[in-house]
Formats: sequence, C-alpha cells, structure tokens
Amino acid sequence: MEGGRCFRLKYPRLFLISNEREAKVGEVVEGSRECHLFVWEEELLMSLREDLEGMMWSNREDEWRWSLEESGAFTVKSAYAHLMGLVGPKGLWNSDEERVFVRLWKSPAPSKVVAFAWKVLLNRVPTKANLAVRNVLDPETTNLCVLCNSGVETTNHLF
Amino acid sequence: MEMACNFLNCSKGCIPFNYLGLPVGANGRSVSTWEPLVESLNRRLNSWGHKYISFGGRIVLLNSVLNSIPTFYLSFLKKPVNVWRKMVIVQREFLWGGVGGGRKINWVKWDTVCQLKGKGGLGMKDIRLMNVSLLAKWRWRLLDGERTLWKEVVEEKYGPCVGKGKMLEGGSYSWPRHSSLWWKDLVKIGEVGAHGWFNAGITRNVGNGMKTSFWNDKWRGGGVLGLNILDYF
Repeated sequence: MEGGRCFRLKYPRLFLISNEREAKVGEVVEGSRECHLFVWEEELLMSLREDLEGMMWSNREDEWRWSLEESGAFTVKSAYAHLMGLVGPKGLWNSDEERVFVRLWKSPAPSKVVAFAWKVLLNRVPTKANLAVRNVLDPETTNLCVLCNSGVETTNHLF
Repeated sequence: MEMACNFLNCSKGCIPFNYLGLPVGANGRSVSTWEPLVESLNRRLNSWGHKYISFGGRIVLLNSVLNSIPTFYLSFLKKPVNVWRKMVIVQREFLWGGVGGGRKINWVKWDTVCQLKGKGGLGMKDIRLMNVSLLAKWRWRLLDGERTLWKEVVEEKYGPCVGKGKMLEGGSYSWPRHSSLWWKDLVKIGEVGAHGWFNAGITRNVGNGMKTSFWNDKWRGGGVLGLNILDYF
C-alpha cells in the first residue's frame, strides 16, 4: 500500500521526462506523446495509469483531506492516537491479552476492584517478592508466603 | 495617556492580560505563564480535602478532571518541558498516593499508564502529545477552505501558507525573522518524524482537479499512513 507519496517521488523518471511539470490534475489529459519511451518507462507509465484507475471526478473544488479519519476532517483524537502509536511504547501485549484488558474495564465490578485486577495483571501488587525487588523489605527477612510458608510470595503464588 | 484614560473612563492595562481565559501576549515558553494552570490543578486537588478516595476512584477523577483542566491552555500554547514535568508529577502523585500523597511507590511506569485501557494502560492522556495534537488543529484550520479573519492576519504576516513549497505542504519552510513564538511552535509541532507526521497525514481530495498539482501533490494512492511508520523514522 502506498502511504501518501506524490507522483513526483513515486515516478521520478516519468516526472523527469514529463513536459507538463506544473500541470494540475484536471489538465492532464491522455494524449499522444512525441517522444519514444523505453520499455521500462512504458511499464512505469502503465503502473501510473493503473494508479489513476477508478478516479471519480466531481464538480466540487479540491480540498484537503486528513487521511486518518474516515470523514477526512481533522480530529484531535485521531492525531493523538497516531502520535501515541509513533512515539509511545508498543508491543507490550498480544491481542489476546489486550482483549482481556478491554473486557476487564467493562466489567460491572466496583472500580477499585477492577483497578486492583489491572495491577494484578501487570504483576504490580505489593507482594513480598515485589517489595523485595524495590528494597522495601529488609533483605534478611524471608519472603515466603504468609499463608502457607512454603513458597515465595509472588503474584502467581497468591492468586 | 492618563488623560486619555480619564476621558474614556478606562483603566490602564498591560500585556499580558487575560482574555477569554487565556493570557494574551504572554510568552508561552516562560514558566510564569503556566503558573496559574499548575496552581489550579493543585487547588482542585486540595478541594477534595482529606477524603479517602480509592485507587479506582482516583483513576476516574484523573481521567475526567485533572487531565482535562489543562486542555484549554494546551489548545493554544505549547508548554515547556519543565511545566509538563510538574503537571505529570501532580497527576502521578495523586494516582499513587491520593490527596497530599507525596512520594509513594509508582508501581507502573507513567508511559504505560498513558496507554489506552485496551492496551494495558489506564487511558490517561499524555500531556505532551495532547498538546501537539491540539495545536495541530490550528494547522488544519489554516488548510481548511473557510475564510476567517485570523487566517488573513496570519497570511498577511507570514505569507501564504498553502502553495508549492510552503510549510503546510512539506516544503522546506523557514520562518521569517519577525515570527511570533506561537507561529514558530506551530511550524515545529509538525516535525515529530523525519518527514513530519502532520504533512504525512494530509492528502488532496480531488474534485474537479483544478487546484491540485499532478506531480507535486499527494492526491492518489494515499493510504493510511499508520501502515508505513518506518518511512518516518
């Protein structure tokens, strides 16, 4: 899929041999060319024609379009989401896990319960193992589970 | 001056002054412009007093209140990094520690908290990105066909923004010497990636084709730009 490039960059060769470099879209008409094209240039031209297929003309004036939004109008929301995708962290969760998060926040449980479940899923609850990593617990004390005393108190052990 | 004031029965003002809730003529890069905003965040926090609010409740309050207070300011002025840090600290301490919480263990990275809920975050807004996307709306308004007074003023001052090689179409644009800080910020926010994310996002919607350049404008084959992010970095 071509991600928004102008024809000058997509077909630099065709642009070079074109004699209508300043032409507007509405003015470019199919006509016989005086010059002879090489075979590979013909192929480029074919490909350009393919790009132009299915072109819909109307009487409206040309306008700008914001490609991230169906309607073509700029929205802060789409811009924010796009920027987040560009600079934010990515690939933290696979799609199954993401579905779990979506359902989690839609559950009818009280918000504090949901928020706690979120912390559990991220393994960010104050278990002894987690506290030890953050140097909250004295390194000499045991980090065995208080309930059964038989294993390290991690998130998986508790729940 | 005094006499004129007396005659018109007006008081003498000075720049910057507040108009419609925004400081007019203020330097958006100085911390002092932003003090009222940070102040209002703190005031809002204090108004909740010493009530205990659960972690879940704090998430809701953050998303609906503390995150939206700055929106109006952010839609006009670019905020300095320093102010951004301060605001994040206020929000972060509230999330993990509650009102008057101070430093607590921040269990989850702020970057992760700012992810969408469906992506393992809390749906908090990243203030920096919010700022950039809100300001981008001004760039969009410049492109948009509507005639408005402010656009005429801007074009008069900085030259036409639309046209071959102009800033809004990815040309190499250098602002004139007399540019305001606001204008410089507006030019700069489009350049997060190498080609500029804003210019990558706009294409021409061809109607009768009389105002679009065949070779130089993006008008055909413009896909969703999210698909080739690699091009921008």
